[in-house]
Amino acid sequence: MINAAETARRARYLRTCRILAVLSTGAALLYLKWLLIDARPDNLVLFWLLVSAEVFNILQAAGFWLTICFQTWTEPPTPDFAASSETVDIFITVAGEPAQIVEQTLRGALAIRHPRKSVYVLDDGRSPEIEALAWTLGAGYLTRRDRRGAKAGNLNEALARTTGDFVVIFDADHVPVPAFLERTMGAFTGPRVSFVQTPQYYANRTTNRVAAGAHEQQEIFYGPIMRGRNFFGAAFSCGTNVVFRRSALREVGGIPEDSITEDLRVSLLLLRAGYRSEYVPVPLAYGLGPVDVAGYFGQQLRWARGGLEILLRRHPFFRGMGVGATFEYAFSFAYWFSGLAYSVYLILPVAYLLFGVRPVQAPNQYPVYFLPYILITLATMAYASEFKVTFRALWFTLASFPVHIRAMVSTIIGRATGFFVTPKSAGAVSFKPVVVHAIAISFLLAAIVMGGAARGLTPAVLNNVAFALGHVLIMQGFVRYAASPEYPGESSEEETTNV
Amino acid sequence: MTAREGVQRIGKRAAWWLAGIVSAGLALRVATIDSRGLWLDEVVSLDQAGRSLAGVVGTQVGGVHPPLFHVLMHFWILALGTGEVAVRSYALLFGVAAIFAAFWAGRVLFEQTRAGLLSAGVVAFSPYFIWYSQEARMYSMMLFFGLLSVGCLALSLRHGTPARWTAYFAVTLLGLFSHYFFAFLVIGEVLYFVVFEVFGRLAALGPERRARWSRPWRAFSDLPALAPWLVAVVAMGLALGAWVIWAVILPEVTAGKGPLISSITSSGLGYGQLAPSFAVRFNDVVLVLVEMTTGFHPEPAMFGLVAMWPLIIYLTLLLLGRLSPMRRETVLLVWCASGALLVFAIGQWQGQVLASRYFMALAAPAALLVARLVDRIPARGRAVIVTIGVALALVAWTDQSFDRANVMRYDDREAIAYVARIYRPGDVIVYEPFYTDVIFAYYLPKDLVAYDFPQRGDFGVVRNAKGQIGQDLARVTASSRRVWLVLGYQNIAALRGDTYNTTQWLLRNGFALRQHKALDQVEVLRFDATALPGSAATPTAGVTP
Repeated sequence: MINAAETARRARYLRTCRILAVLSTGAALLYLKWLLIDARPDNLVLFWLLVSAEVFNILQAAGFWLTICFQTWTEPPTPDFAASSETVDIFITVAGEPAQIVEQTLRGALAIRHPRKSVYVLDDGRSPEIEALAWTLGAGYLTRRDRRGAKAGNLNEALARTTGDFVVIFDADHVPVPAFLERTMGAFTGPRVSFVQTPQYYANRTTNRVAAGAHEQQEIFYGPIMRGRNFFGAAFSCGTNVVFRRSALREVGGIPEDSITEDLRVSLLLLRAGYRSEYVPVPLAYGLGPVDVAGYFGQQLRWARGGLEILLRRHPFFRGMGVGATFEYAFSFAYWFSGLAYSVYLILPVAYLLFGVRPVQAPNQYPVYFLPYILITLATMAYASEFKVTFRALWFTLASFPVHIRAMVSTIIGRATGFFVTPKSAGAVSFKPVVVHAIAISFLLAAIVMGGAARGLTPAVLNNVAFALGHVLIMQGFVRYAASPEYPGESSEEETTNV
Repeated sequence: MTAREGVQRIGKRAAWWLAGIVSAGLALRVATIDSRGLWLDEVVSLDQAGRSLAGVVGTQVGGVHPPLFHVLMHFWILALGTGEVAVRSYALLFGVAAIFAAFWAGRVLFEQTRAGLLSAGVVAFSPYFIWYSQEARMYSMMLFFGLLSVGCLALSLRHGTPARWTAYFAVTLLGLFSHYFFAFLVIGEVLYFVVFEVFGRLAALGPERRARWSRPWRAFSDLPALAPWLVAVVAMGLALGAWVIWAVILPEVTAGKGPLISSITSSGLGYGQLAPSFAVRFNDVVLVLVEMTTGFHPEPAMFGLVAMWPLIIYLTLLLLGRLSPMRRETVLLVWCASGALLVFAIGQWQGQVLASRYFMALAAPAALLVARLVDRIPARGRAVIVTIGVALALVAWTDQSFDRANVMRYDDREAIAYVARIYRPGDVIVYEPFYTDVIFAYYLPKDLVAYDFPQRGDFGVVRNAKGQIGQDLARVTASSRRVWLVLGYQNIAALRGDTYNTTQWLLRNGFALRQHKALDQVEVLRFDATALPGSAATPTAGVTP
């Protein structure tokens, strides 16, 4: 149970979030009004590109502002398992991960306190080592002949061979705490609660830069965003650290095998079937994040492809979904288009530096409207994340634009893609994933030099130089991390840089 | 504390570093202390400080400044004279003392010698602080007292003793008496105390303790700092209030109109001539930030740097995730610097106040914050940032000191010397605007005479109507064959209008432009008589009104 001081703190936090959301909305509307009504377009193509990108971003931001205004904290009381009779199956999905990683997760799962739990290793890697490990530690070992349906198929196979009332899913690299079920089972307050999701928390963020960035990026998602989605009944399953009600899964036909983001798809199917979800915002399992840029981009590509495929081919919206949930899922799907918006911002300074064309004629007025909007928006994001959001988290999002665009294009043209597991061993040095970034940085720097030489260091040129340098700052991170994904020492120095 | 004890306290290595930083700061300040002549405000200060002690105080009655700087300057020039270097070394003294004060404040605030050294480094190498350490005005004094005030407040809040609170009171009061804009720092300090120390503490108390505060005096037992803080703030308020009533309000009441308070609604808080008007002055705000970070440079460079405002966004992004949890002392600095927002807001109405020198007291917590941010960067990155920072500061200092197109250089010294060199008996020297008379009094050789234009008539009323200028010029030039026109502040529209009337009269009355020398923000024109006064005008090219 939380104490009175924490309740008061949350009330203050929520009130401030709401005030900041209103201020952000006001600033965004003023900026939009200037852009759409007062600004005089110069180059029409660039102008409408800018308008499209800004409208898209403001709508995305509006989704965030709406979400943070309605955050709820689900922290159920510990149930008395002695007085109940439910059985729980704990599944650890394995697809080729090293045995030492699986062992930690398995030991963690076995240590979870519940009198009627059964732990199973669902090994799609068919590794004798994992099998021996499972039998040695006293867990069940389930495997199958093929790997049809990838992770979803693996889970469905296990669902068919087990009988527990509830099913807990952990990825092979997510080590749960013993209180996992004590902190989550109480959230099943009625038969229509289909699943309870908990946050992902990357334990290797202190030794690996890429994992640290991915962790910081996820922190805002598993913080204010999921707490807000929870209010709207739109908290979705993230595939691990989650407890499902078996009967609900059975009703929707198990875990859908027609999507590479089966977690999101099953969440929507359960919602359509009239079930609700709960989100417990307490880290109850400690996992491993991607350890190199290729792994991170692979993870992003899978999520983006899966999300976009559901949006474009699986009709995710339905009558009776609820306005709040509709908005929340719409904002989630829209996120995967943000790569397009960012590429517009990349084009604008280059267009001026190389060709002298710009979107609006009165750039002096631009900052008066734009800066308050962007600064209040950043302040809102910082506050809503309880000052946890970092620059790294932002550039991890923005500089993933090539992956998002690739996902979009491949989804639209219908190119097939398979499920793959994000590598979790030591980070590999490879510049292949950041070729686009290196080219973009070179292009921006060349544009700065050529623009300065051709047009002189006029205020207009320098203004665009500043924007271009900002983009270089945003994109250089992945190039650095591609060269050196691991922290040099035992742990990150950057952990101790607060002022 | 002896020097030996001081070295022992901070460590020998840190003492060497501090000595190096102070030496570098001193060298940068001394090397270029007279690379530019005194400008108007400096000469005005010198003029005011050169009077009798009662006269010095009297000049500030009804003026726009409190008296401390001028009173101390009075004694300084009595001892060292009124030479350029002598006068400026008075500001230099506080400028160098501010480096020590920054070290002390940084060390006290963050209980770490490295933070102190970084703070000292920021003050020592910043072109902005160097510039105002070389200007015979009160700005380096503001900085010095600002740093001490913030440090003393932090120290008093941490371990409040009567001596520490008295020190806080004393240095803050001295700051308030060095410049009225020091009040914006004090406003930030007061806001910090009320919001963070009082209401923050109140919010953290349980309901029972909070209920106790319904009788406010009970708060004093829960907050030991409240009583001494209140005494210090009230005493400061009374002291400054007494001065303001005597020097600003009473003259206004007795004389009908005074220059300061009435100026708040009439002419730029008394710091300029432009009438107040609401406008979004974004570029002016950014220019203040540019000046505070890069110093003063030619106008195209300053405009270019202002145009790079998007970097503000990226700097904000870099700070994300590093601002919380903040140390109590960092919160104090943020609140202290927050007075800048108030000045920026006022600046949207009174554009005159958007000049970086008025932010000097607020620059004290800002400099400490910069040092703190650098201090928190991991070691390797910190070394790189410090190296780059020092290199950029030296480049900026070089340009600021030696680029003659610097926007803050007013080369009256060179202009007057130029005229004096070529002057021939019978020549007439006319200068605009009239209020640069103190500069001519300072630089013009005593055997020469110069006339201010437009002139002041009865009751000091400016005679700048076209006809009045003509009458005055006719009287001044009489039978002269050569007229020198020394023009300053031609960026002010009203003065350009006066120049136009003056040159037109000369051209209409038989004079022709023969010489034109453009110096740093000062122009020198020589008109020679080509015909008897009153005869037909000789068309002359080259004068652009």
